[in-house]
Amino acid sequence: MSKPLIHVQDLTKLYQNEEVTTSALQGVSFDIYPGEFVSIMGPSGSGKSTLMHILGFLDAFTSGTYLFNGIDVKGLGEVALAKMRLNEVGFVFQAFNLLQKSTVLENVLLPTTYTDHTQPERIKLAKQAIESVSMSHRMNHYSSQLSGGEKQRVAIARALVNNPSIVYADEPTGNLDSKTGEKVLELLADLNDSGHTIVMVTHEAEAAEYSKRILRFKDGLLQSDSQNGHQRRGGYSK
Amino acid sequence: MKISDIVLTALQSLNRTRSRSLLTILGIVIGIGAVIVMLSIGQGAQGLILNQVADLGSDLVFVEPSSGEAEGGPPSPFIEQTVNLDDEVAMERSGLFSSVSPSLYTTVPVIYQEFNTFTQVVGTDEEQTNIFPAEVALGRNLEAEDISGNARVVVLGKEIADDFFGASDPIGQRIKIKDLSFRVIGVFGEQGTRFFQNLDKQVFIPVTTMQNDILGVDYVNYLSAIVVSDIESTKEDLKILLRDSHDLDNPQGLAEKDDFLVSSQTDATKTVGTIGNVLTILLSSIAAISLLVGGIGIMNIMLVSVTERTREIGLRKAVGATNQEVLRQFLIEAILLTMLGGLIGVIGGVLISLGMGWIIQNFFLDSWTVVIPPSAILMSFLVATAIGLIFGYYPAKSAAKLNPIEALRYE
Repeated sequence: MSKPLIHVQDLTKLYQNEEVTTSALQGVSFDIYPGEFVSIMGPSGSGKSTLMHILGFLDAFTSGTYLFNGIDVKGLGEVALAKMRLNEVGFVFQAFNLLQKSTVLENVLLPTTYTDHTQPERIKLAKQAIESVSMSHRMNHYSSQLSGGEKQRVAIARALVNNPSIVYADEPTGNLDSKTGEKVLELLADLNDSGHTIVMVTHEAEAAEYSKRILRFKDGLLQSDSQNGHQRRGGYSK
Repeated sequence: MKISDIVLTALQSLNRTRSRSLLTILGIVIGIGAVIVMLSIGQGAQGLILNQVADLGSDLVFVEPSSGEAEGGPPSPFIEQTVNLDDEVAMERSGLFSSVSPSLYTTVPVIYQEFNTFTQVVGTDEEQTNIFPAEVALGRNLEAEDISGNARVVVLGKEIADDFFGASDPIGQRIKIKDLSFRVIGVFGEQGTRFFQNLDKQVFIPVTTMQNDILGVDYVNYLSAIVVSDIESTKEDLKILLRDSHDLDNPQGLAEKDDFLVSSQTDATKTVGTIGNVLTILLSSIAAISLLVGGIGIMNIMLVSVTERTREIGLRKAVGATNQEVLRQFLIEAILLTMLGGLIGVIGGVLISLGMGWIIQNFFLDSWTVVIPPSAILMSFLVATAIGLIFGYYPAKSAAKLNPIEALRYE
């Protein structure tokens, strides 16, 4: 196999209050390779969100090693981490986090404003990303006019717009009914088929069915790491 | 992130809260607008007075009574009247002046048949028109014999003549000034205003007649003179001359020991300039307060905006914005707000200044010139920008400091 995209070794995370120290991650180790579709599962409090924040350069870890594409993340400063989020990572959130009073196009353009692309290049990238989630017909609608499923597709387009190495999806179906949720999962599976590496945090077993590999967490420890032999296929956009 | 992107992003954000943004900048708009209007009117007034002072000619000196206060103080109505016609004679004899003329004012009823008006009467002499040039439109000016003979003759200002006599010939007609009968010997052409006095509504009689028959006094309000040679040295010579004729013991030439004040056009210009500067400082202080209040309003609304947009800030950070970029975005939003406020304020201020200038020109003082000081416009923009920078920094800093994970969870 090729070089891992993510290499995590003995990763720990401690939250310190004035009095109590809580341990969110107690030493986890795994590798994620390009082209994978990994689900991170576990009950609440298992440390899966914390892990995703660390992997997404939003949060610092306490000890251990995290190599992203061979880069030691421990040594990166605030600006370098922001650049990693900008160029390497796309986020999909449970609550969509779209700007309500902005159009679909403006929402998808948002991450590109922090790049060095020219405006025509940005618009081209944004249109491609919107096309890839089949939302071109809604390009100039305000995000407040969209349904939940459409909002999440726009959010996925926004995650893809800077052509990241990896997409992190945090409970992407959590705010959707099961039918719309399925469509979003099918979309993610399709994107994985077309080469995108995807890491999805979920507590729903049905959602995890769409991924190729499942990491199960409990109490800040990795319980199991299994390949999903009966992966449900995408086909949403076909 | 390029500056143009930050500006564009900031503009989009402001556009989303358009009505609130406009209300927020109202304080700045009013502050800047008020500065422009006040400075425009202040400078217009100053310019008007300075023009009139300049029109007097730079070779004029004035002698007025003074209670011995420092030079340049305002004339007081309760001052001891120490300047008289003996001083005039002394000045004429000195050879320092080509013309000397007294002025003594009073305001009394002036009557012709059924016309009755309360107007300013000036006691003066034939040399007045050498000093303040005026064209005699009809008849003749006062003459030396009128003064020495205590004659009851009068030269009318144009407006009074028109009011009283209309199209008919006023020369030789008799009018009553404070119940005494005067013969009209002349009418001046239109003269307009000088120092906010309408010269066309004044009437001019011999100073001696004014002293003896109307007021019963032996002083004059002031003497005006045209100097022959250098004005500054003549002023000093004139002071010595007046100390002699007033029997003053003041060898050091201390202004507080003199009972008179010698001034010239230059002094008047300086005084007007000083008044103008004081006025500017006063207006600037008021403006500074209103801009401070406006700035606090901006800070307040930017803090609200940061709180409201916590999730947006979290999102921006999650997609790759650095703290610096978030800081800049909010700072530029604040600066754009205040600059827009400044722009609207300047436009509004200029329009109001032009409008008020037009009204003043057409209804009050036709010699008024509308001045819109470019420095005030430039300053307004700089101040507005500075306010955005100062009052926008704290909210922007607090936006930049937000933790993206917590910001994204914010409800």
